[in-house]
Amino acid sequence: MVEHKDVHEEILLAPIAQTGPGFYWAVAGLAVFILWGAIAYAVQFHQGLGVTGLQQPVSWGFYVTNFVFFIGISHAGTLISAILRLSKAEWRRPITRMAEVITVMVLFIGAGQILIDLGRPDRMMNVIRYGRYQSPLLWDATSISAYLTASVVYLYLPMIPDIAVLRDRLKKRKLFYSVLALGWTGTEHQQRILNRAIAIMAVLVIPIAVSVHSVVSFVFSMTLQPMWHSTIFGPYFVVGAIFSGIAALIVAMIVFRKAYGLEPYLKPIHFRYLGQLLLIMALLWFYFTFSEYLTGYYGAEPEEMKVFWAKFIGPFWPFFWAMVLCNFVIPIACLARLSQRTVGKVLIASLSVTVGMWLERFIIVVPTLSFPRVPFPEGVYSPTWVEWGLMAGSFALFALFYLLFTKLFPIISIWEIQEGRETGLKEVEERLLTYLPDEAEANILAVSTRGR
Amino acid sequence: MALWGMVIDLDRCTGCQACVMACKAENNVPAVGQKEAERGRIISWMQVLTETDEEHHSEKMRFIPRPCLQCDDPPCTKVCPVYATYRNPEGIIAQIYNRCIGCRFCMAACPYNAKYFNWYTYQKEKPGQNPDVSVREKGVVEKCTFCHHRLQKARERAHAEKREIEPGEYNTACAQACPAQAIIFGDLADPGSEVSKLARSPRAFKLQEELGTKPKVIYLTEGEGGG
Amino acid sequence: MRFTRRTFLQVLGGTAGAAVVAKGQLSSKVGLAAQDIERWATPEEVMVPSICQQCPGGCGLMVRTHDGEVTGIAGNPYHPINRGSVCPKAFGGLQILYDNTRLKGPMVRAKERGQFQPIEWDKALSMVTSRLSELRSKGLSHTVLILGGQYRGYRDNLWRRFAEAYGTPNYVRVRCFSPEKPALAHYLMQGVTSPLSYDLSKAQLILSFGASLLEAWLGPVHAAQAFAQLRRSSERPRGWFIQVDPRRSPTAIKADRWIPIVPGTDGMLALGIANAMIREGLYDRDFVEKQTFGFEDWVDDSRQPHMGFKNLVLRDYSLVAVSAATGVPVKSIIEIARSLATIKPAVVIGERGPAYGPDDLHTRMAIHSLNALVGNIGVLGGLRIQGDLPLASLPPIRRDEAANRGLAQPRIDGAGREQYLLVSDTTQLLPERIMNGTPYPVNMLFLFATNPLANHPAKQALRSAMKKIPFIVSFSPFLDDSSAMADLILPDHTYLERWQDDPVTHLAGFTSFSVARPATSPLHQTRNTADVVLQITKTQGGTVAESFPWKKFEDVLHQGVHGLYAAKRGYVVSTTSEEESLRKVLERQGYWVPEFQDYDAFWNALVQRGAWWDPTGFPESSKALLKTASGKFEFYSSAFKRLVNEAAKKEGKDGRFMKTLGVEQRGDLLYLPAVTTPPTEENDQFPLRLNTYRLLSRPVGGGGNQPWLLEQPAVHVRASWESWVEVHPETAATLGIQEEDWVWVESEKGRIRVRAKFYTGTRRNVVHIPLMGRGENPNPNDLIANEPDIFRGFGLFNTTRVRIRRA
Ligand SMILES: Nc1nc2c(c(=O)[nH]1)N[C@H]1C(S)=C(S)[C@@H](COP(=O)(O)OP(=O)(O)OC[C@H]3O[C@@H](n4cnc5c(=O)[nH]c(N)nc54)[C@H](O)[C@@H]3O)O[C@H]1N2
Ligand SMILES: Nc1nc2c(c(=O)[nH]1)N[C@H]1C(S)=C(S)[C@@H](COP(=O)(O)OP(=O)(O)OC[C@H]3O[C@@H](n4cnc5c(=O)[nH]c(N)nc54)[C@H](O)[C@@H]3O)O[C@H]1N2
Ligand code: SF4
Ligand code: SF4
Ligand code: SF4
Ligand code: SF4
Ligand code: SF4
Ligand SMILES: [Mo]
Repeated sequence: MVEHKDVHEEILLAPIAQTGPGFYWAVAGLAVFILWGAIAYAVQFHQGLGVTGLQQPVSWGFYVTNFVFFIGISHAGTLISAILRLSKAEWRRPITRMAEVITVMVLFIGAGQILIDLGRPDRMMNVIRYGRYQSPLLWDATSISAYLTASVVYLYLPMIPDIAVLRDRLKKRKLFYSVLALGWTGTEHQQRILNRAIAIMAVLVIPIAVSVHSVVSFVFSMTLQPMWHSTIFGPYFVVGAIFSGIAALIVAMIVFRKAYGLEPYLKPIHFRYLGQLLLIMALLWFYFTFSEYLTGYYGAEPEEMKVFWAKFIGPFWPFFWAMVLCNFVIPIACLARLSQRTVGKVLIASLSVTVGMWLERFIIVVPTLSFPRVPFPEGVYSPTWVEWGLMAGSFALFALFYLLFTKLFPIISIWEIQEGRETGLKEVEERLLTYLPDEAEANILAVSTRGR
Repeated sequence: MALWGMVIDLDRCTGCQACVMACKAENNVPAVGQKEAERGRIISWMQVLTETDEEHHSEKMRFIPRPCLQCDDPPCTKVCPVYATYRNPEGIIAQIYNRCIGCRFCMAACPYNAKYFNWYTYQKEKPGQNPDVSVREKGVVEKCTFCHHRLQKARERAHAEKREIEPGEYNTACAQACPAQAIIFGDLADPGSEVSKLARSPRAFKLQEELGTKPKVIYLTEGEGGG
Repeated sequence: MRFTRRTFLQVLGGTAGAAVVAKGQLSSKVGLAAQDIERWATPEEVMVPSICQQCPGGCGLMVRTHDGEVTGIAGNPYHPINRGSVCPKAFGGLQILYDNTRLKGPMVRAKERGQFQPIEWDKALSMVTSRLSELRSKGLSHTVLILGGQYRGYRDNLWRRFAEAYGTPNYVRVRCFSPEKPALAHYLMQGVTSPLSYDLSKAQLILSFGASLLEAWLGPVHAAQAFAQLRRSSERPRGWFIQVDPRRSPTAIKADRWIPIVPGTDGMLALGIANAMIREGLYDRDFVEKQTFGFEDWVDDSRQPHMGFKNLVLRDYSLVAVSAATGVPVKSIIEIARSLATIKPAVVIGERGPAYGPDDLHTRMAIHSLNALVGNIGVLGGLRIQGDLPLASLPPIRRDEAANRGLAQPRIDGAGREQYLLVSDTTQLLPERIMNGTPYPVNMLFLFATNPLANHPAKQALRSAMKKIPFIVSFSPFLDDSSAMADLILPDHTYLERWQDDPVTHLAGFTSFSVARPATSPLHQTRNTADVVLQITKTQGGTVAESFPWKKFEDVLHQGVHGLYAAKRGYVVSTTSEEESLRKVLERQGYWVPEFQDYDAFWNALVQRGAWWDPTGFPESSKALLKTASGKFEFYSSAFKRLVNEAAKKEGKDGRFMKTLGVEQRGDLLYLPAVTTPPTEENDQFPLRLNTYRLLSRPVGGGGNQPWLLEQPAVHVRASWESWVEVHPETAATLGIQEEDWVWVESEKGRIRVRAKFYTGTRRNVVHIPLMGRGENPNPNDLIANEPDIFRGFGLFNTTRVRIRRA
């Protein structure tokens, strides 16, 4: 038992204990992009939003696209982890932490996009001082802060036992870990409270998460604009969010698996399960997209059709069809059969979906604004170096946050892995038994264990 | 309570843009310069839109001068997070420059593209400007205000003289300039006013009426026939 | 700055400001302070009436000022021309006034031409006056050439006076409409000596041959107001408006019918319409029988038979031929003829600024014939005539021997002689003649309110010619293309800074006279050129000085305006419409009530309200409109015939005039509106025709310093700041040109690089370039062939052929 424990701790604490040159290279690489972003923002702050490619009538562009995209990614974590936890999916154990971290990090970046997008960031506090609750933007602010708070707590709670391990085993940052560990000693009482708390949070976090992307969609659907004013935008956005979230999670998993040698923990089976989830989401996404566009097309409201055709065959066709390719064709092709080269295929699908979902956000935000209802001169939006910089910087900052996190805390929950070994197996067995009619018990059990 | 509104007769409008320039002079709207104009950032509270009739090989063209339509149910105000744009009791949609955070949500929400953004600091205070209207800074949204400052002045004058505002005493700069008298401004709540009468004309229509925004700028279509 | 609302003044109820306008005093900040010392610290809003000088429209302005700083421009609500409304160009006035690139004071050439350094006014003036004296003493006064642009009234008067008193015949105006004179065709066919006016606001049908009613012409505001009347459906049936123009201009867009015509064939079309009217018996028989001459075939005193208009038209201008030449379908021609006959009153306008082409005079005559066929001469809603402005005559000009000697010299531009017998100004010939020193070299050139190096089709030739002139003085407030060639620039005030007048004697029908005092004190070291002229004459002494007994320009105005006061008709515009209509009614019935006790009160009121007018002061009978030898409208112009006969007597049958006109070949047809069928040959090298036109947003002077207008120059194409060429998309397709491509437009003379804009509103083989801006924008005059119009001495702007290719 003890040895087991030690092995896990050793492997999982390794990235925290020692730091190789790879880390510094990575940080340096990311810093370049972050610096680009920082310079871009400084320029923008100083001169005004004029340095972007935004104009009349395309008054929203990359920043808002990124906002929707990042907030979407955030669903990877907390929501998925909560669902897996609640459904007691055992294979979740090495995944949840990674997922939850994504949420927390990306929410900061996502919320930041709105600040970047403000013409008067100096008046940011007006939103609090004079906040007007009828504005979907306020709904966003509220629901994102709630989600952020909940996600931080939800990330933190399962980390407590691991922090205690860090406190006990690591030589450095003693005070930091002691404070965060909240005096965790691992008593049964503590463990019970913790499990309870995690369970409550898991339940709580799901509606909040769903609300987040629903209200993000409301920013668009509450207007009267063609191809925005749609009743299915809420669920459509949520589905898209989970879709992109899973993809992002898979990418993160594969990166760290490679970087920190986590192959023993993140096995092809994990990727197969996630891949299957991704496949389901792809189909769901397609279903929503299809019904969204079909209703638009069938109704053929002229103003809608202008935007519709702009996406299908007009100036936005490359983006639109690239989106379809990335979000549907490639994932289906990769994920349909996952028995061989699982990780590689899942990685390709996930990368493709990540790109595709970004394009989806772009294709929602920009074309509608480019084709106004009134015969206003149509606008052509092309982003400037500032927007590219801030986009690159945002992604890099997210990666850096993530990286730093892995340098402070184990990216895979040590105690949950241990718990899996210690109690999980038994629990599953018991649970399975409760599912099944008694006579078949033995047979089924045999099958299921063989499957493992 | 007055309900200020405008009727624009498209049969008369010659697309001359006197209204456009009158508005710029009255409201200190800057020319943004060639570079910015090329990037599609011209600020034109009143803008003459052109509609070509595609059925007739673009043989027909129509000029549609478009101020802020001062919707009675404005989609733009609904979405503002900070009360920087709202409907005042006389139906004018206000725009508060020093409260606006520049999120441009109202721009995205206005179905008529009547809102404009200050992408840069386009101007400073300088001679030749109207002292009644403040110069906007970078980062805020602006739009036609129905020359609200003129209402304030008219009201103050009437108040000082202990009387009500007389019809015609409050007029907008664009209506005042229009050489074809295509723009008629006044009180829609007064059934006897010229705007009210014209607003009830069989030629009257509203832009994108189906959206239910209830614009208080009402258009009159072209008439037919000759003698 | 804060402005107390308390001090807001009713538009014309200005007290402090208005009190200072007593003759001769500027409402400067100092003046204001002196008048009202307690109020000195309180910023005061004052409305000052002024006159818009951005086009020939002559609209009255109301300039808003705060302590003398201009803060806004609006139309003068009481001004009869525009009744409070203005066009977009009016607002450009703010940007002209506060233009940073304006000349801040006099400039003298430093070494090279084109380089300048500042100079004191006194020194600058003495440079001019000493030269003038020297030339005069040498008997070379006639070698001073004064080139004037678009202005009228007392500034024109002063320059004319100066030329005469000083002794030069060379006061040359760059102008295509002269507001003081009728169009030549009108003179020849009706014998009128004042310009005709078009009663647009009462017409039910307007047929315009390329007159840009709503954009340029004689002022879009006045025409737009009339157009609004035409469109008023409540008071009368909705009127009908037909625009003939190769391009679907905004005016054509607003017309009920646009007739795309092959450029230069308007005369053909008019005669085709006449043909249809005659054939179908649609013309006004009564009018034609009683009030016209030369309709039917006729026999003269010497028993010579002459063909009448009717048979000419029936013989030579069949609908098929006309349709082939003009590109207008026969059906359309017949429909126009029927509209003309059935919708009354109808008015036909054929008075375009630039020429219709080489056959300009006959084209205009042909178009004008339609007015006789519909019998609208001297009727409400038809053609009227300008009344005279009863201005007081100024003291006679004194001439000494030197002046007489100078004036006896032939004009440099050759106007009024030889083939240019009928022309008063021949700007088109100037470059060549200055260059060659025919008939004598020019020693001094004054440039006043004109910029020929931008607008003259022969601008390159003129540039070289100007190099030969030893001393050039420009009065432009801006460093424009021509001023850059000057030796001395004596910048004029801009129009909001100076005393000025504007007699609008055109289009409106009624007479009106506007006076403006400075709306603001001058921002820079500039001087009203009219005052400068007075200063210059003082130094010349003798009869020259005696001919100018005034200290300041406003003294001239004050003296002239006295005539209006003394005329006992018309009135200073009223500030209420009730009062106005009462006065109008009274005056119509022959009662005229004096409003003012003395002239000072009259003058003060005029300066405070901005204009005087006489709504009744124009003759309404057809007698006044038909002043020909026969007392009738002459299809066959006997006046023309007389002119030719006189010329023949003077210069013989082989004279230049006779030759150029082709008197021999044309015979009788010369005096009839017989346009020649235009040649149809194709030009393979330059297959497209170039049309240059004025944008509504283009002020005279180009407006290069008016960002608002340059930023949104037009609505029919999406353009901004840069010039462009309008091409039909199908034409573009054959040339492989995409929308917004940079293209070279090339003619035999030169090429310019502009952006292509697709525009379906055009004939396929015509491309259009707007006149736009100043300086930076490519100038279509780099393409225009230098062909003079022999009847007007002006350039032919729309005959040039071009080709286009991608740049
Ligand atoms: N806004 C503005 N107004 C102005 C001026 C200005 O610069 N700006 N300048 C003033 C001066 S100096 C003048 S001379 C007048 C000129 O006033 P207009 O003559 O009214 O103006 P243009 O634009 O020169 O020409 C009018 C129209 O004639 C069309 N056209 C060209 N060739 C032909 C042809 O052969 N036949 C027919 N039927 N149409 C043809 C052109 O397409 C154009 O639409 O405007 C005066 N008013
Ligand atoms: N291609 C082409 N060329 C054309 C025409 C065309 O149709 N096509 N039209 C022709 C016609 S009709 C005309 S009339 C001519 C007009 O040609 P111009 O007579 O040159 O007329 P503007 O362009 O009005 O130039 C007026 C100049 O006066 C100066 N100015 C402005 N304000 C003031 C002032 O207050 N005081 C003084 N002293 N000067 C001032 C400015 O520098 C300005 O450049 O152009 C002709 N050129
Ligand atoms: S001023 Fe009048 S005629 Fe001119 S564009 Fe505006 S509404 Fe139309
Ligand atoms: S027109 Fe646009 S900006 Fe104006 S009130 Fe309506 S929605 Fe708002
Ligand atoms: S841009 Fe300004 S006015 Fe518009 S919604 Fe945002 S804060 Fe409100
Ligand atoms: S009402 Fe006033 S603010 Fe609105 S467009 Fe007209 S001039 Fe501009
Ligand atoms: S029509 Fe001419 S005079 Fe009248 S406002 Fe316009 S530019 Fe000025
Ligand atoms: Mo002209």
